[in-house]
Amino acid sequence: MSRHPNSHMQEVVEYAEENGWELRLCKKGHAWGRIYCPHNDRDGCLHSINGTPQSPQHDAKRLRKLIDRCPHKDIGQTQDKDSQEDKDQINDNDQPEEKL
Amino acid sequence: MSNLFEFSIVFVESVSLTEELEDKVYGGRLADGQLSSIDGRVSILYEREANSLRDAVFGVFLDLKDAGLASKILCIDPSDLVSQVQIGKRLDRKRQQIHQYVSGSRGPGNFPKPVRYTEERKAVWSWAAVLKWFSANDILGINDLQAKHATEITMINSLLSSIHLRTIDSSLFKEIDDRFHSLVCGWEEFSTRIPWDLQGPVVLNSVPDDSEQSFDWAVQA
Repeated sequence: MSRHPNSHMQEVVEYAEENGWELRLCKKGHAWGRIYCPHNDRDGCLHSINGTPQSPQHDAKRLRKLIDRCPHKDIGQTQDKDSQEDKDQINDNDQPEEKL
Repeated sequence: MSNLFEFSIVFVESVSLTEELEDKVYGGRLADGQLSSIDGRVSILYEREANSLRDAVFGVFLDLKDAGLASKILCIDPSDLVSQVQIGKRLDRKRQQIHQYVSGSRGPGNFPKPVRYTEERKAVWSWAAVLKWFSANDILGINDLQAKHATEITMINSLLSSIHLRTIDSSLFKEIDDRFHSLVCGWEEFSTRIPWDLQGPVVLNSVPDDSEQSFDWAVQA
């Protein structure tokens, strides 16, 4: 398995893999690889990884934030929350003042 | 004074995350961005230092133009329309807390009204209006500048949207635009409130290509 030339980036790639993301290495070009979120049966999330980042520490931190923000994470749980929100709003807005 | 601004450039549907795009982004002045694709929609996340948010956004626009990607910009995120859940996520607060502000059981009341309802009667709010309310009531440490930034992004997105609508059907757009200007802009109620200069800072340079939904634009100094 190839490692990213920068340790900060390598660390975040390992974090992604620990969380079920899949790494696919690029054979050429400026990108070193791509990581795919576990929800890759349809589209899911795909983050491209720069092979020579200008600020590796900063870029690694940002990438980790994006991994944590994956909208497909706990997708069933999120849908339950949204359903609850819908119910709350319908209760609150039984008489909407104005529909645009 | 220079500040750090975070925003994403979201591309039109015809853009895919390919090796060619990666080389354009990571091989030049756009390389400080994070290129991603979420549910097939390609975007680049930036955190840039600039004197203002608009300076940061237009700086990226110019870099995208140099890379031949300006015609593919769809919009800037974070966008303006938000649900209660999204308000909570953006402010890093629980949904229940936001719900209390909305219902008036927490805070001073008079939370902004939703700007519209979806067919499922799910309400959506203007992010700029929400931030303005938090700022005006000194809640959650939101300040005027954050509300102003949300408005700036909404203005830029409105102009981008206008350009994209022209590319869908330029003759229909022109007819509606002409009628709007001759009719609505003549109304005293509007003309006294709004200085009508809808040419804006962004101008269409070429004949739109309907099939590509792309445009060629330039930023006027």
